[in-house]
Amino acid sequence: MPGGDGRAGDRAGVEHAALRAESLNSLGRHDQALAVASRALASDPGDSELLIQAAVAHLGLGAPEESRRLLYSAAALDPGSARIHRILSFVALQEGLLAEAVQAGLRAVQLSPFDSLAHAQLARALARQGDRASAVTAAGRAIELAPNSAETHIAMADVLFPDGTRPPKADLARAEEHLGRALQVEPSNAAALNDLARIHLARGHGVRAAGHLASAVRADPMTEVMQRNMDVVFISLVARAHWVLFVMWFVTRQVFREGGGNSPRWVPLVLAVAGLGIIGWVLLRLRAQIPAHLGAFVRGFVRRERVGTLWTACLAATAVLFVASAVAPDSVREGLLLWAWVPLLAGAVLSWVRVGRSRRQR
Amino acid sequence: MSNPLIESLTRAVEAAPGDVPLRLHLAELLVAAGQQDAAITQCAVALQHEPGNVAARALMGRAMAGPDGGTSVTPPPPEGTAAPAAAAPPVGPQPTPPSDPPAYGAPAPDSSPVSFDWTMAESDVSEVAPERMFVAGGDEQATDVPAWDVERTSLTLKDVGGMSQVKDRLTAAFIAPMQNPELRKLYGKSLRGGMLLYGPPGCGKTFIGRAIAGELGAHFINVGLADVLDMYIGASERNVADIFRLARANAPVVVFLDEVDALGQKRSLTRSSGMRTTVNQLLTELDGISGQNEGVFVVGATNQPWDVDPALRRPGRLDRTLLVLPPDQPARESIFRHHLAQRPVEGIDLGWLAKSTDGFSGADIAHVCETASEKALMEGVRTGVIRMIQMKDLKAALAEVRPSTGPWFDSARNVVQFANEDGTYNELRDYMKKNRKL
Repeated sequence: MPGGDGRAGDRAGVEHAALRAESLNSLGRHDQALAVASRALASDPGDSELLIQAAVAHLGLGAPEESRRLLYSAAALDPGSARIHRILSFVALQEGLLAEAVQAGLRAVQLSPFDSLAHAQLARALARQGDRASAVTAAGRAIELAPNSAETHIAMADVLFPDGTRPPKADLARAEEHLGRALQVEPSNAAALNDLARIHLARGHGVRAAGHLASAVRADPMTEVMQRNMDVVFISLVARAHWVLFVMWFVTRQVFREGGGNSPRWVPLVLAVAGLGIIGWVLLRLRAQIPAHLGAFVRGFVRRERVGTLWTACLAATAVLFVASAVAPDSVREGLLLWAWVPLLAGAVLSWVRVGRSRRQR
Repeated sequence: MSNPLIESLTRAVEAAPGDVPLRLHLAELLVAAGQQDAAITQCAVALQHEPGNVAARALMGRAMAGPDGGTSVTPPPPEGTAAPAAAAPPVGPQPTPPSDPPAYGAPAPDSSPVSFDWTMAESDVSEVAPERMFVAGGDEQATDVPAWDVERTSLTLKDVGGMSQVKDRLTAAFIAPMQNPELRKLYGKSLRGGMLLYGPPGCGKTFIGRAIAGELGAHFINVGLADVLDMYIGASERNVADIFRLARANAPVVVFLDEVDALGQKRSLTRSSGMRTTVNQLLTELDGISGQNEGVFVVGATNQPWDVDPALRRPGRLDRTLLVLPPDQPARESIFRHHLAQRPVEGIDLGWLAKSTDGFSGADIAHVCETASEKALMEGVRTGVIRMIQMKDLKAALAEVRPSTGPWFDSARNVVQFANEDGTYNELRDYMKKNRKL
């Protein structure tokens, strides 16, 4: 039966292409995966596995709409596949289509009620939709089904501390606990380390967050999200240092001015010590948390964050002017202190620019 | 069609490849004997040695003009005329003015400006084209022939142009101990080993793999992912086992694992349990059982070494790594020479080309040569005047082709900066620093 053999050969070719595409997708080589899947789809457009792999590749390449379209085609071909609906839910969530994400998640759970990944995905979708109680229940079920899976614990942490929210301290502590368990299972899980950094940043522990992000980047150097999050940590540290100096300068100028309008000698001295102290303390702690790659992260920050870099430069200029006014003779001391106002104000303006930009990007 | 004089001269030319007059004499005889293809090759080599040699160029033109003095590409007839004989010679130098009708007959009266008769040409070469391997009715994919070919390769490291650092390291770390059995025994070194070649795509990793086999006088088995992966449970593992069984039966052998990152990818990245068991099988085979792997050298090649399972790089497996970088200037010159050797060229400044292609991979250079050939060919088709590939074609091709290694270094930068604690990528880091890529 040559014809039959030929079909078997074609089938083997398609299956092989699907495996290859899956392998490439898992390595993050979505462009190659898409090429492999597309070629095979040309010969067998009705293969749901190939459609899934092409959809995953499209998602990785930043085309969620196309990804969703392919997944709907795959779901039409194989309506009983929980996996397709789970991925569809994930893609819809990426696009912000919350109702669709929840619906697809529910379908995945109905089709495969013992699939922990389906429950985890449903939990994430519900959390984004604002149904926190159901989300926690779904994530809890996922953990019951797979207590030793890092993925389920990370899902619970995501539910307790969704992106862009400020949860209560108790939830942060629970999220941290789950991430700790995830890291026990997979000590270099980049997603868990990244989430742990988010928790520390929410608590105001920027330097500790930097340490976890450095570990996350080491575990997965190819994913840029963690490097960008490190930029956020740097910005938050610069912001805090800047506002502390800003307030100190303002208060000392208002309260401790002498009769002639000049500040007493100890004022610039205190400001200089504060400026150098804050910057030095942050740098030393960062150095301790990121012993090997601080320079690389700073270079990346300078490359990606123009406004942030300018802001940092303003902060450094302020500290230099404080020190200069502390050691300068009385005749120029007041002038230098006044000049310190310029980078402080510029820094404040840049902080608003930065906030505006990040809001627009969201 | 053997001619004793030609055979004798061919041997003489092989013995003295730099003797251009002798080579041209041979080419002259080949043209006279109607062996145009061989004559063109000889002329091309002569022009490699002496690009400005007028006699060589003239002879090349005659050889290209075909046995009848005609060309295989007919000049387009001027408007309103149909007979090629009346066509005015096109602008530009023409090797030999065609006095007779073109070899493939007169162009059709309604022919477009490009009037080369491809159908006729294809029918002409159909006699020499290989026949289908399988007759109709059979399944072309179903075959009893083993999926993996055990090859004998005549390539050696001498055939690898430039790259002296790579060759030195290969010799010191891998080849010299294997080639010196007495020393090897003295130092208790086993006749097995593995090496991981990594670097940007298109820089000659596979070529080096073959050269290692040639250098060791070993067989060569090239294994790609497609040879191993199988959808059915257990089939991929069986394929891996079969490959190593075949290798052991043919020892000494170099097993070249192409794209080893896909075949032996980090198990933490692998969601499919099938792939995990394939990696496990590969590890088992690499370890061998009770020294079964004596004489089996495993060379893995990858563009993404950071995706290779760390277990594959443990001692006794692919424990030595070698960075294969884009070719250096001498290597680029060699690669240009190689890719242009069989083409009709004139006035080629290989030094300039090598200097202008910093960062190009071997594949990029091949692409440049191909593009330049296309340009010369298309101009010939358009104008009807056959001409040789010149520097202007290569310069135009260079303007179009960009080095493909850039994205690879962008990816590598992240790894070198953030995931090089154990110093695995120090060599790459040093190269990137030196070339301002970091």
